Amino acid sequence: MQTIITVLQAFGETLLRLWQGSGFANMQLNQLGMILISFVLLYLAIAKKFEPLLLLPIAFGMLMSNMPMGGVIHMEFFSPEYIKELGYADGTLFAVNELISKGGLLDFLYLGVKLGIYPPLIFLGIGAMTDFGPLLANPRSLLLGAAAQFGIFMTFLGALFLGFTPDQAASIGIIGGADGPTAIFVTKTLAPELLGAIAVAAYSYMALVPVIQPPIMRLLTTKKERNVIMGQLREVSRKERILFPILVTVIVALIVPDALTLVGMLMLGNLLKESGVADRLVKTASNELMNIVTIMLGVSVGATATAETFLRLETLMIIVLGVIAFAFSTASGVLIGKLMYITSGGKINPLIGSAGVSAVPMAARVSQKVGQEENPSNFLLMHAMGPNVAGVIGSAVAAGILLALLK
Amino acid sequence: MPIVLLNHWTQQFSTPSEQAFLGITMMLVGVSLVFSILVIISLSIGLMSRLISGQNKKSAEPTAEAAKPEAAAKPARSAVVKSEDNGAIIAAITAAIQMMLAKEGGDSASAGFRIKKIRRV
Repeated sequence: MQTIITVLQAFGETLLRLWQGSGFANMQLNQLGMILISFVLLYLAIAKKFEPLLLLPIAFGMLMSNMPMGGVIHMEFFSPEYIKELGYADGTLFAVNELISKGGLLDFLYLGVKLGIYPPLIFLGIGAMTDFGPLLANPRSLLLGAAAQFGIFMTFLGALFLGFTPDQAASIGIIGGADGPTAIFVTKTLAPELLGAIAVAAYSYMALVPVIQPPIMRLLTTKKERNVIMGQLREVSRKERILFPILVTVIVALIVPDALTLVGMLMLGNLLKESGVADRLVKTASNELMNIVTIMLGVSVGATATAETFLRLETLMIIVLGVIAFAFSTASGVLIGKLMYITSGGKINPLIGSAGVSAVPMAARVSQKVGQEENPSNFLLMHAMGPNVAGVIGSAVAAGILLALLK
Repeated sequence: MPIVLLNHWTQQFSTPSEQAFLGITMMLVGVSLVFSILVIISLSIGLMSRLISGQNKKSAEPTAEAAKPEAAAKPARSAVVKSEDNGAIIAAITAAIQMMLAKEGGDSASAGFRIKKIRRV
């Protein structure tokens, strides 16, 4: 009898220990909230196809890092206070020994974010996939790419008024560029504590381009302006295509060295493509490398969105400010488009101005769609690709300027 | 006297009015810089395109001039291609294609062609 009781006791104790060590017993309400948010993001990525390539890994990273007792990522290893407490020298980016001895997969993947490795690699892939021909054929479209960065600086101002620090305000403002890698690149340097919220906001708004932009475009343009059919773009020579990335890299490097990493990698990718002598590298940069980095970036950024850092009033404010930034960027692009419509004697359709935000190629597709709604025989896509790729350069330059001023 | 740049210089703007001043200044500087850099790139692209198209025209002109008399002098022989005439015929065809592209407003260099040999099929 005694033996049976002992066995049952041992059995009960084992079960109790298992229960105490399980996620169910340790689940906190805020973690449950984050898990539900990750489910919503997974739904948006899978069912609604909102930027699924990035939103899906981000949501899954978020799900894993918020599982109780999971311990998949140790954000304290990257916290300046903790690093200082451990006695590391000033400026040490992460607790080196702790990371090596206790770190796991996501801690190591997060190094790619912390050290700013992933965004430039994604830019390399984007460069290898981008055709700058429409921009070279119509260099004035760079002005539209510049105009669409206005939202970044307007939101910077708005965020300052709401009590964010200048570094945080800059990171929030960059959402207006509609460029996920750039937003991550700036935030990891200036406000790493907001990384999760900003990444989620940036990618969500990039996915919502077809929803956010058209009402603003219609509101700011007349029927006559939307009806403008633009002339065919000129052919661009191979020489121009090859010289362009070199030229842009040199100009940007000399004026804003902080933008060099992003712009340089973008242009390297493009030079590989246009040179026509490195097909294997182009294929790798635009496919395998890009896909691998996208997975690593998405999962590790999602994992930073823990309940403690995400479920705060600031996150809500970031989400609201993000949409304001995006709306301002769209509006300023369209308004400069209108100005170009007037100065060109009605030859430029102002709808292409909204494509100055750098969500490539979705923003250009939106210009095409809104233009065709007005006039089915109007094909604005190639014309909108000019401002669209200019927006990629513009947002990287804006990021470089913010980094140069604030870091 | 060397200019000393402060680290975390924005921290000195602490009151709301100072923050507003900082925000507006940075907004103006930022927007102006983005515009300036993209305008510089835009002008550089324009200049580069002009230089390249000018260079192409220069290189196309002598070829066309050299080829014209040959092509005009032997119009009837074009049907029968002899090996010793290949050079002139190639030059004439090249010039004609380049002229056609130039007339259409295209860029002959973009075609990236070079006729090496003509063969009866």
